[in-house]
Amino acid sequence: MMMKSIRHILILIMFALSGFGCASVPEPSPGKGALYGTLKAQSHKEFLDKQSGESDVGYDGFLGGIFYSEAMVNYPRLKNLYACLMNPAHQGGAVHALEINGSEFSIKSMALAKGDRLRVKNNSGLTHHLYLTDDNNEDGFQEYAPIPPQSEQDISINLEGDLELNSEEDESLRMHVHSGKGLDCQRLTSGDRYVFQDLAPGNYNVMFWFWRLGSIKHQVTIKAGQSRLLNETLSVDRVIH
Amino acid sequence: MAQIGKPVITIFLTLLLVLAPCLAWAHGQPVSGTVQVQGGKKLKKMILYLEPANSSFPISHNTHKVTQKGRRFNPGLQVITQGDTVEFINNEDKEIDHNVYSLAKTNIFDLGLGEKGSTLKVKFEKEGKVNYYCSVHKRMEGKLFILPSRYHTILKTPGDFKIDNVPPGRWVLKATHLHRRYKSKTLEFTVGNQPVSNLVLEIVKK
Repeated sequence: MMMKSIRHILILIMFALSGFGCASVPEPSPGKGALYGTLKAQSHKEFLDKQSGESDVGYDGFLGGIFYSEAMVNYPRLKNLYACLMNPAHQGGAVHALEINGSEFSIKSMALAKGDRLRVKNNSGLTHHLYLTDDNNEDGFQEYAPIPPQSEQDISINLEGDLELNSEEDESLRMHVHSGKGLDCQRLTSGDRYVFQDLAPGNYNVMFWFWRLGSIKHQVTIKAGQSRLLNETLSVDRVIH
Repeated sequence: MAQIGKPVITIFLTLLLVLAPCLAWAHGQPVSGTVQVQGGKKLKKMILYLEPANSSFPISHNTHKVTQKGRRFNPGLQVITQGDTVEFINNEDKEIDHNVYSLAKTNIFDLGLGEKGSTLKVKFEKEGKVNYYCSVHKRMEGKLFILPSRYHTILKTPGDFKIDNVPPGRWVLKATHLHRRYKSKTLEFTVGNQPVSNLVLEIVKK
């Protein structure tokens, strides 16, 4: 009982030190609003319930509650989560850096706006013919000019939806892409804070996405002079149920 | 005896009438041919399957098993038929829990957590490809191809194929595979009283 109380106090101290509970509120420019929050990934609820029931530990694992072995998905440290605002004012055309290293892309998954470009640097010894396919539409297809070894090339993403970027020369080279019109996305690690600053007042759709966990969507109203807080947790049970 | 015999004969004849279509199905014909891939690409694990050209078709439903051992799904690729059930059996040597879920638009599911020795099951009502995962273990993923009929064959590399015992009727031959750069053309044909041979199915670049 004593140990349990000490553990809870430690958790509270950790929260306070991490600034999770008292992160500064963004101040939008006059006539504008903001959206901010924290995005986390989390293990399946049944897994957490079982772990907490057996060992009475904090579920986030950052106090050593759950030991995430190399074989496990380490949700508290999960990278490449995305917080995306579907912003009609956001035009595609942003450039995202990507490298081909051997049989892997430097980033395993990416959410971006339709019309954005990937600046692909080919560090491998092969010329790669990259192509993009749509998971849910066999006819959704886009191909690109070959990228010789040690060269760089921009490729544009003109499809929308859940996509996959592949190479004709190396089937193990693949990246999951989520593309949408007007998507303004921020790449995060689990527990990171996101901020969409200086938004015109109005209704917005917000999406939180990780390729293997799917997405959770919200509609929010942004008012002038206000900063709206929206925290979210991605987990299999939350996305599916 | 005669009083007993009459109903028995009536039941027998009724059963014969009911089962006659099924007996006809059982005496199908082989369908064979060749698969040609544009550019001669050696596509791996190509699944050739038949879809009834007419929508109604009786399908018996099977149950398939996928084991979870050494933090892997085995087999990692399974071909089943619409309406079939898959049992996920946790037969780990140690106390390791697994979860099975899929985000596939046609077959979304979350079977929860399965302890060592447990079996989780799910029925697949719609055809399509399904990628499924374990939410606990990062390298645990599997793939299911859910086909509209039980008549299929898997080719390790492109070449000759044969699908046995195909019932009479109008059929469409299709192919699906893991390489997303290519797509299959379709081929419609009729199965009658003779084997169907020399079909040529083309796989082309998108």
